[in-house]
Amino acid sequence: MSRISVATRIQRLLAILQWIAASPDGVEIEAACERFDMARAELLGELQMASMIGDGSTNFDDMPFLVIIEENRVEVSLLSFRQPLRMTRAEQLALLTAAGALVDPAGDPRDPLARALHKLAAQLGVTPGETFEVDLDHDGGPLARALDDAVGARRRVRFTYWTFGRDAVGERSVEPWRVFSRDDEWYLVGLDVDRGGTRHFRLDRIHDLVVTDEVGAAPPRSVAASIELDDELPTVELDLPASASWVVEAYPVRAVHHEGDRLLVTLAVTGPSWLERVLLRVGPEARIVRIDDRLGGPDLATEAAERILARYR
Amino acid sequence: MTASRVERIVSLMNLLHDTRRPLSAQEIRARVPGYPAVDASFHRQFERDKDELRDMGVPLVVEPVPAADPPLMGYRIDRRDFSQPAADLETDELEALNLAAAVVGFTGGLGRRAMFKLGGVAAAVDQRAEVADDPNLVTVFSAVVDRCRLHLRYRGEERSVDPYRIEFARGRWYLCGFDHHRGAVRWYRVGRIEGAVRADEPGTSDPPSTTPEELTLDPWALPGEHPPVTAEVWFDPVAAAGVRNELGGAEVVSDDADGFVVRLAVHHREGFRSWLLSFLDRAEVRAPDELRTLMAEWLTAVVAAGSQHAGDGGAGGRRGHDGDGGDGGDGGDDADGRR
Repeated sequence: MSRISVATRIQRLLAILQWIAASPDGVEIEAACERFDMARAELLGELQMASMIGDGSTNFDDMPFLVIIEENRVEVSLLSFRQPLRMTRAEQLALLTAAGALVDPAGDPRDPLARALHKLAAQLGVTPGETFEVDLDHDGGPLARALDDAVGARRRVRFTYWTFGRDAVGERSVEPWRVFSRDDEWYLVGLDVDRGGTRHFRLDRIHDLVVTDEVGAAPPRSVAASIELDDELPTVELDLPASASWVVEAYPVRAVHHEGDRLLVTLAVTGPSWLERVLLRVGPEARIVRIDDRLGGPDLATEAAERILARYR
Repeated sequence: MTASRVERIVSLMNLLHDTRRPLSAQEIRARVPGYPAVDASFHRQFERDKDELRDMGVPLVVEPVPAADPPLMGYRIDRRDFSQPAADLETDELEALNLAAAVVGFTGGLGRRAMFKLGGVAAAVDQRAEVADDPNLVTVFSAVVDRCRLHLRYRGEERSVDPYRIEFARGRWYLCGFDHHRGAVRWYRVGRIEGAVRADEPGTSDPPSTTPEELTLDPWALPGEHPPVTAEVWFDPVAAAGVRNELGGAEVVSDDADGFVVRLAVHHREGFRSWLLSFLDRAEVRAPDELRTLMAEWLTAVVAAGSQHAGDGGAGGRRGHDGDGGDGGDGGDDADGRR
């Protein structure tokens, strides 16, 4: 496991200790490693830390657990914390959400996850599908599955990609590393072979995928399932009507100032076409105050409007 | 550094769990190893540790230390509330849930943390999707569970809402409930609630008398001011790949090398226009004329505004003839349908 919060680490430690303590003669260290998906050194480190808690105190009550580590076995007696902590509402919500996302409402109610969801929900008095619903595409469809297979087999892929920001279409050759979903959009992250760098691709802009026979290099050890905006992106400052406040929520805004019923917004922009969309959607009341040369000139919206208008004449 | 914090918090938890009387901060400092010697640092660390305990679900009680002079606040853990009854999950249910919590993550790794409380088993799978938290989400969820009336500020107005349902859709959380000021059932996007939600006591909200209306998120399908029309829309082959997925249920007129043509029932014209413009010239509404005119007039106004701004050097305001900001969500409903 990579990064783990203090709270999660404490819960994990208590879970490990409670599990070991349930066997009065202790357990094999290997068995504990396997159950908690931890390397031996990591597990031993946690157990040793636990054995030190309250160790220096003259007060026996300050010691919550007795941990005895032998060569291949570990034994635990709990002097405190024999039961797991109660669950918080936030944790209950997280579990309901995970189960709710994966359980098909029309599926078999005897499915173990469906039963687990039912029990969790019953304990809380909520009804999945009525008071609580999670509609999440956790699969990504055939394209995500094909790319996943390519990740597993380390096969290089080729596809046609629509770069939204520049409204350009081109061929890409990519060593795929990970497929994931964020904010309801599916992404592929991998090495763009021709550009020689890491790139993110939205799955709904990929078409004509070909999985080649070429085997790529091993991917980095951990590939983050996240999208981060490049700090170097060009910016634009827009003067918008108050009715365009949705822009502030929908796009990565660097700064916002309210001036009467107008909004002065600084946006980081991935490309001119991306900005054209914002301007056209806001409409005639949007104005460019300042624009990075890389994005174009002050006539960006006018030119885009003319281009689309050609379809309506 | 983190190791010592874990040790310190477990020691703190142990001390407050065992004590029968509340302990003052100074008593705690003397008994729990690992706190800094400098007063200001100690207080800062102690505050953070208390927050951590509360966040983990530890029932921390703050009450006066008996017979303290001058009066002093002390801390202890309410033992009756510390644990929960053993979860009644079978082994296969626990494993399935564990896997689900690994695949569908929640901000802050809350699902995994919760699994440790249920006994924790290994699930060596990569997370596929993550559901985002929101500062108000837990309060809203608790209010649905406990039937608490909510008080919140939304689109600049104070509302009192009996919460009926929460739903995660298209990457966002929504709340459905009865809005007492408007006297009607409304949908709210949780992320758009302004400031903190306030919840009344449990049992203060009434359950729905009828099944609430379903959440509508397609910008063209939001309730509009005009009767709905059927639009025929063309997308070029590049845009088609994504649109085909997005419009899974729409009536397809043609889908070939010339592009993708579908029919949509348009209820909200401004929402439709805004959505269609996100495709630039890779989309075109082919029929009816009414919607073609809507698009053409809007674009013509953009062109006219552009030349006027150029003429007056960008100064001075100009009102668009349409007056609408172009966001589908401003059409009357509380939820919005922007992409």
